[in-house]
Amino acid sequence: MSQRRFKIIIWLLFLLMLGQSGVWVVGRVAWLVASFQQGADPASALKLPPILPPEATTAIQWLPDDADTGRVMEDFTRQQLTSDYGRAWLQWNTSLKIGRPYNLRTSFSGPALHYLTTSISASANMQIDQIDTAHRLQLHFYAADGSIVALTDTQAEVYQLIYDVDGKLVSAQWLYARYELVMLLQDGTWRIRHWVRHELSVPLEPTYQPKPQFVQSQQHDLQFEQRPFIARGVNYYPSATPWLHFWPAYQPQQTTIDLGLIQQLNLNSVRIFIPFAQFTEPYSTSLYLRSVTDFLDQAEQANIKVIVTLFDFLGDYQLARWQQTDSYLTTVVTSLRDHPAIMAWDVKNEPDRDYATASQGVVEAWLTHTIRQLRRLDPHHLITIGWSTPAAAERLSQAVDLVSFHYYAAAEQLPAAYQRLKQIVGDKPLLLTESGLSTWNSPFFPHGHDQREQAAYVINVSQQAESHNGFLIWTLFDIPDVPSTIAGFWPWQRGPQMHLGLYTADYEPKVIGNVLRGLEPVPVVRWWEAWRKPFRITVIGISMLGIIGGWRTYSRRQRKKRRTG
Amino acid sequence: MRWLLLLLGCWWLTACQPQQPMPMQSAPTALTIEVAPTSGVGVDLPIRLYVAPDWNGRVTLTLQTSYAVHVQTVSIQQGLGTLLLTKPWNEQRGDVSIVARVDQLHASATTTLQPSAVVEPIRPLVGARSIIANGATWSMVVVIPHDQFGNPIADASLVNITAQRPNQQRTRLTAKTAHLLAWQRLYSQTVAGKTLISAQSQGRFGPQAELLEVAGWPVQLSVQLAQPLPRLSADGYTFIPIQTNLIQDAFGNVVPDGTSVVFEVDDGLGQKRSINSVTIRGIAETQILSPNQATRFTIQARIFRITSAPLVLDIPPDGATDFLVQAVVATDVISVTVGPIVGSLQQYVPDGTMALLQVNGPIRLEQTTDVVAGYLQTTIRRSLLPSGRYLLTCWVGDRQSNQVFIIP
Repeated sequence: MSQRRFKIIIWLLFLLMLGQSGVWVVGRVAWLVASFQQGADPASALKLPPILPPEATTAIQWLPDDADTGRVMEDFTRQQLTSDYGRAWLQWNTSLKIGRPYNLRTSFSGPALHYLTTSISASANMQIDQIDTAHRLQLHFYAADGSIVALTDTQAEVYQLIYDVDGKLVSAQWLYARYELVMLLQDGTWRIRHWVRHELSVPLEPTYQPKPQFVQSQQHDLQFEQRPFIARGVNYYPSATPWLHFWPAYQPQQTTIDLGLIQQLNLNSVRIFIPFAQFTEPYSTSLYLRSVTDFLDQAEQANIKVIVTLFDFLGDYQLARWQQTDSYLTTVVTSLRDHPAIMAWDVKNEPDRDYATASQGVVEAWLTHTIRQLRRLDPHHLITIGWSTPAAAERLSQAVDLVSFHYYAAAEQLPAAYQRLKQIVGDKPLLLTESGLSTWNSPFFPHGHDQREQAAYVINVSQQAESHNGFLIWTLFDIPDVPSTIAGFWPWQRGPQMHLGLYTADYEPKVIGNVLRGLEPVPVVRWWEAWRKPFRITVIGISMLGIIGGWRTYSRRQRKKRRTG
Repeated sequence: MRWLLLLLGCWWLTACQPQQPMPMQSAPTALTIEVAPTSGVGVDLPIRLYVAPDWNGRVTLTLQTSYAVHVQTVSIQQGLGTLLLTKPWNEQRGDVSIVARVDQLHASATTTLQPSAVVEPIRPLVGARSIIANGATWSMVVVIPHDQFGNPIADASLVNITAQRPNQQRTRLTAKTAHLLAWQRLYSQTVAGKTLISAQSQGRFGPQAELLEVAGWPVQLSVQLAQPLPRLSADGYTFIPIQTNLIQDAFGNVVPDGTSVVFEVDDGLGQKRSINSVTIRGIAETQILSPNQATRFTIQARIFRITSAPLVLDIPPDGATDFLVQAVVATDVISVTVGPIVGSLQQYVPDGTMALLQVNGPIRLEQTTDVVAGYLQTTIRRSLLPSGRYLLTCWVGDRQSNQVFIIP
């Protein structure tokens, strides 16, 4: 190695070290500046109890008080007690999760504080994740001076996950218990001083109670107004405001136009989505719910039934969020449950796709819990889960009233999927809630399809699905702007997602649109038509150019060889 | 080097040798938990696990007590394993849910830990701390008897409550524990004073608690002069002492010290005043300044909505002599001198006695001034008064004197 090269390497190493040091120094200075910009946490500085999430108290209900409680409890005290009891569970759950007593003094005192502190400290070799999802309180005693209460939590529902030190799941279980409690008012806060747990047997699940004015399930079939109901529909977003833009930019006039198009296609069903994050915003939820109600009203006028898909874009199934999801469910379902346009509640769109990020056990436990909560809130509408494949729909089939799934594979394999699913789910009705074929036909990427292929595929699938309660096609319109969070970043991911509609983004009907309207026959796709696809033409063209180029090079070399020879 | 290569080769061959196959063990087919349905807190409780068929291995046991979640693995030998539930997991009253898991099998059982005997102290909690001694109102005695581990004792345990009344009578009450505590209403009697309360259960005792029984609403309220005055006159400086009667409730209990009494005074001249006072040993007192002109005072005492009959005091004039008014018109001002202003003993009226000056003429002026050392001295700016004849009148109490002056 020459001396010059050696010097260059030394200088490069020096510059690298200098750069690293510079990055470190800038980082530390930024941290220092940032730490001076932040004030102390008021809760820690003033020893305030942490703010209780509003949804923590929604799961607490009161049963009628005992005949003689010593003193009649005031509404204010009951609200305070509800809040403080919810906080006690929150503090306990948090302490179990982090493995050390956290703010237990805020909510417990005396023997209860001692035993909880001791037990949490003693269970350091495992991690316990638990969430309380329901409480039913009954007051037995309220002291004359308003400082002591005795009550019973007649039905505490707790879901608990226990992991060992290696993070391996040891136990996942629902716990049902009755807790007898004595709470004391100390420093303005109700604290639990004693509680005694009594195990309860698993409660009776709320059951589906069909109503004639709603779509009902009748063994394998769906019924509406005493007649079989075959769903023929689409998944719906406005073309210009899809996904998270739908409800914030909702326009009733647009809905009128779009539902008119759906009617023209001789369809009778639509599937819509209620995003989780938007419908838990405190200030906008009521506005969005008014928009959903308007959509349902218009659908009812157009004789179109609606599958309402809940919890759209929820990807975090942590136990700590269950109370928030319950709160969302209560808000949305209690507002809409009496609407006659609703065909079914779809609890979650493709939850099986979240198995990779949240464990399958937790996702399915959440689904089971949510279905139970939903049934309590609305026992009259059908409940389903929008599984991403027929195989995934085999899970939890006994918990739902309607087994729904999505299908984008070869149409020829659909009968086998139906047959297998029917064997697994027994007499539950099936419904295909998503299927379609993209008309994205890129010259540079394979697997493109034209509108004739789309029409043939959709008609093939829908004809098969007609004998299994029907189908809903994805989607009504092409969507020109697909966020990367929905489909992915790469063109071969986004492209197909943009061209799945029955109409183009400009409201031009595709071939399938005309077929559904009866304006065209179902196209027959010949084998040789595949060779007309832009990608194949590109491949053939490039191959031809390669062959020609290769032949010319070969010829040139041969001529050169002959000349030199 | 050659040896080293040989050594490495041997090691590699040894590592590649298939391991000895483990003796095949049949998978467990049944898992059973055997535990006593009830046990006492603090008592070691054996939990037996049976895994068929004669299985060897480890079973994970999850225990849920009232306050704790506990996970333990139990070694199973020949299909049998035992776990002893010891401190601190056996100290908490309530159900213990036990779940055992091995492979795909799981079994569950429940045992109930009963509280042990009550221990001292048995502390009676009394609230409200103060009630009216009228035989109708009540306070509450709450007792949470507990065992040595702090667990509330079993339901339906008897708790005896004894209350010694202000009249030395004793009231005995019995309560049964339910929902973790025992409580009883304790009605008042008709004698005010301190009631001492104790609680006892299963021969165990505790400290006393106190309850105040106080007089209720007064039944008779009156106002009177605190002492007979030799002379009552509108001298403007004598204080008139007023007091209530001994304020008692319907049962003759004197109201507690500090009971608020309001004296409402109508001075007969268009002004009403409220004077706050409190009772000491059942009587509330106040003092009212006598007026500087003859009038009739009407005085009432009030405790919340209970009002006494009015006490009417006629206050005569104090017999003072007339006084002189002088007005000297100077260049810029008119100097006014009034006095000497004297009382019934021919003494100066108290400093600060209010006097009212009125000027009547082409225009009208009024001015109030304090009397100092028996005289009133003040000035009126001439620029305020246009030319003309004026009558200057000075009022002190109910007496008056006049003087005429002219502004050229």
